[in-house]
Amino acid sequence: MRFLLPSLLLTAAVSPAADPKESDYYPIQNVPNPANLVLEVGAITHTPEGRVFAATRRGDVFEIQHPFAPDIAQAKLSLFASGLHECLGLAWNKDSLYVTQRPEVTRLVDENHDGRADLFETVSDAWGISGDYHEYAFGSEFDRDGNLWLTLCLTGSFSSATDYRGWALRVTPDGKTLPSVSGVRSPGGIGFNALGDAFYTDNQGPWNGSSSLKWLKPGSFAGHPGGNDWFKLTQEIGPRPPDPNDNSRMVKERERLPTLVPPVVMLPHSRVGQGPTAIECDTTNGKFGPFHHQLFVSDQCYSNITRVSLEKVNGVYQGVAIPFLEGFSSGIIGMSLTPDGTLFAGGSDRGWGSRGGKPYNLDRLRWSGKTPFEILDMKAAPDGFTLTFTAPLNPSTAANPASYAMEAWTWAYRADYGGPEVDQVLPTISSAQVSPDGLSVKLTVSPLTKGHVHYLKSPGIRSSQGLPLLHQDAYYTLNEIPSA
Amino acid sequence: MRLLRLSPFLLPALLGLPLHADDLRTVTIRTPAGQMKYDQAIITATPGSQLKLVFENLDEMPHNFVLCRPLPDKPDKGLELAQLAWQLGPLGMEKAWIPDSPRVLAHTGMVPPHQKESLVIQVPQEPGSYPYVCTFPGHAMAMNGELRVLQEGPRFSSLNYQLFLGDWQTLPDFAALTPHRSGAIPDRLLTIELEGLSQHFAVRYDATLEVPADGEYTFFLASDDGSALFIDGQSLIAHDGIHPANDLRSHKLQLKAGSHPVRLDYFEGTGEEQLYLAWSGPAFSETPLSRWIHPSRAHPAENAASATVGIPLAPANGEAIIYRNFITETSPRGIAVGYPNGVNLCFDADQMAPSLFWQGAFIDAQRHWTGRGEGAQSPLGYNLLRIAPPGPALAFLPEPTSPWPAKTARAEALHFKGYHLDAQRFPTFRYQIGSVTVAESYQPLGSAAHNDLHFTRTLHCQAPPGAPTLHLRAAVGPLHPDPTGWAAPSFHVAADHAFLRGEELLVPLAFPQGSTTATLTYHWTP
Repeated sequence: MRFLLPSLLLTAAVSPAADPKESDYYPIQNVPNPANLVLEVGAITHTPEGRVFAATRRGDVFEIQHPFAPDIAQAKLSLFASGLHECLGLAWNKDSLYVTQRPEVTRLVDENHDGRADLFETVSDAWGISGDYHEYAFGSEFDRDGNLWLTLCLTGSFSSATDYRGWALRVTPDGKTLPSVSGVRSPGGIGFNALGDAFYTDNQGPWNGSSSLKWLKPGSFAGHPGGNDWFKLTQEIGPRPPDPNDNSRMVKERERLPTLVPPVVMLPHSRVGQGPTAIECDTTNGKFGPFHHQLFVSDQCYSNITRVSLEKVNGVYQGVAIPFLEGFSSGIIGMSLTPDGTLFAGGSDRGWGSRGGKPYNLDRLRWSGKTPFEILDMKAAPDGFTLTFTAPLNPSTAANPASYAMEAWTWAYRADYGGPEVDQVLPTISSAQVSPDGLSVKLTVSPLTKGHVHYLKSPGIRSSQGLPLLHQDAYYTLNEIPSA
Repeated sequence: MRLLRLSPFLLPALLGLPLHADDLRTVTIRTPAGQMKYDQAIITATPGSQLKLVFENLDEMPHNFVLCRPLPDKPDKGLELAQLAWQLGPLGMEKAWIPDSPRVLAHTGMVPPHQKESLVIQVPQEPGSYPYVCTFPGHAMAMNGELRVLQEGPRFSSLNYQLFLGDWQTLPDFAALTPHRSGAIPDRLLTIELEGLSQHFAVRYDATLEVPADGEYTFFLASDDGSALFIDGQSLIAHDGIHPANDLRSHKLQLKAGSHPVRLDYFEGTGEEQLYLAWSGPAFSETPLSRWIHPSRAHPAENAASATVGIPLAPANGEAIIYRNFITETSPRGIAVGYPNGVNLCFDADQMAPSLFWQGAFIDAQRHWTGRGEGAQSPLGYNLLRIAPPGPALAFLPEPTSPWPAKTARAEALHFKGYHLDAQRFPTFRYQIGSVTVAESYQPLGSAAHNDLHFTRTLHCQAPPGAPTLHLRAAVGPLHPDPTGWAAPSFHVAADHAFLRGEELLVPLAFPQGSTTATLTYHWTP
């Protein structure tokens, strides 16, 4: 109410009052749940007709009625299906909802049009489950070729008790299930970039010093050898790769193991999150804000979303992770970004704990229309990095190298659980050149270390309006250094 | 000793019992809905004491509680008495199914669903196991328990303490400290209220126990904060560090008759402070050795609300309910179905066979829907029925004598295709074996109230004409033909064209016309 007071209005006009907050740009709206349904959301999807479905860990699928109502209070939940086994994937095709549940991918159809599914048709169950709680199965939306991707968690952290635990599979439109990628540890979700390449999130643990975003390049090895015995079941992606050497480095093992694909973007453990999950690409052409074609990655532990921008250097994906939004009331597991620019997000704190204090949540996020002052993108250059911004810079702050600081490190690549940050480097930023339009800066940095995360802090820069960056931290994973 | 069915509030005046009924130890026994059991299989009491029993019927059927004298040399769980009740026949209802028998020590009336009744039990002087049972016809096999009349054990014969002051996170090295105070505790019960301290202190207790006879003894320890128990100088329970008293730990050991030194070390940091120590032995029940009684022991039955906790799932609105998860005796691809009339089953979507049937309550989802959801869940109801051992229900037998295929981790030749729900949400499971497509459905019949629950099982098979004959293993066990089918010890099955092969009842499914249907009927038998 206080902004109505003329004296405070005056103050605000003289100098910006409080620094802008995330919620000024992306306010979180809670989907009403008057019946206290247990909405431990594991996956969300939408249909071309604008229907939105959320599936839960308890095995229910709810439809959100009036999902796009201007007032969220008008949204309602109706039960579409129940009795499923821990749903962690949802996709829609034609008249059917495809649910990835622990034992199978199931096609759900409401044949009699009473609002509830009657047909539960098994689409694929071509993998093993041993009865261990940790054997999660995550499912994707359909990719550009009509495949549905699956990531199958190991039996726990280290080993694989039954078929294809620790693999990613593809279910093809003609119903085949193709083993596609080995080396998966504990996946959290699957998504696609604007080109349609598939990515998944993996969690810190053995052979994963930190959580990260990884590329599901068919035929590749994602880094954890625990499930590689199952090469004996398939010729689909060639012979079993040798195991990586313990206590090594990813850059080093890449030279030995040609199918090993390094994480695309590290999501530094305990810095941006501790349990990455869903991946959504902004293809809304600006309806969700200025981050066109970037990826949004949620976190079950930190109850937040991190923004990721990718580029390909020497045929290898890499890119930057920048905090985007925190403050969800429970740990996000499922997300869906609709063409009108509405992001649905929901999750649960069960079993692992989350920030936020609520056992589960289902929320809606819309861009307020105000543009936050952010690093729009960070790209690698042969001698540094190029930053672009969402709003014009104050040139004197942006051209001052002292406005920035950089650290670089990597993680031990090892069989033990997690890994310390190692091989620390303190690169020097020798110059910061602002472009004539005031929207980008070229940082000259030395040294650049292949395989390291380069962590850029930019506390000193201001926009032409005098605002600090909404998020000053950017973590660039430099798998490859571009050649001059 | 007499059966006492009067209000406990009238009893003191009549019998000279303690003036306040609330002073009586109260035990609550509940009958959880659909589970055909008492929530307490064992209650304990000391000889000659009085016990207020609250019998709360949470079920949809009437039940009673009848406490019996044991049969000499023949523990029968009260079944013989229940047989007498059933023989009352038409008179039974009138007599609340209480037979005229000197074995009856105390009983409630027939308590209707969702009602309760209290009675005061004069516990017999003679130690022993006194069965209690529901004498309503058909219930006693599952609904029984025992009242264990056990002596209290001895307290310490001597008890001394040394009190220390200091701020610790773990037990201190007592030998290196000088006690603030020391002395004897006259009532020989452990207490931490030695000087009215509520934080930053530690106590070393040294005591003597007179063990009455050689045998196995159990010690129970709970403390806030850390504690360590030593018997005969040997560490028995170590529970050091800062923690609340809710974690009650116990340990068993063999002790010889005679005197044994006991040492207990304890410290309190800040916050709450509590100490509980007790022991039990072959001839006596858990007996406190501390003044404070652990909440889980103060009124054991009041705290054991096992009947009402959990996440029980039940069919609603006349529709079936489905629960897919890890179910006991089933591959990890279990699909449990609860039908509205109280028939339940679990279909194994890996072996394509029903793994379990049961009556009454469906399933408790708490195991899987809290925490990480570890392990397999057993049914919540009663009368578990296994018609065949784990493994596939259908097979192509190369020879009439070929052994039935064993259960494998993943049934190779069988492929699950999902299920379809009808208007009542009853599933029809679909799967494939070789070139044969099968649609398998169940129709629950009868009612629990009439004690005649049964079901039909129908398999519609579609096959190309000339497909080889398939066999259905309808049941396995000691099966005896009777006029309507085959009787096993706990069930009866009827099926056309079925034949016995050893203990296997097989139904041939031939496909001269390309499709065939088999319908089987299964009854639970008493």
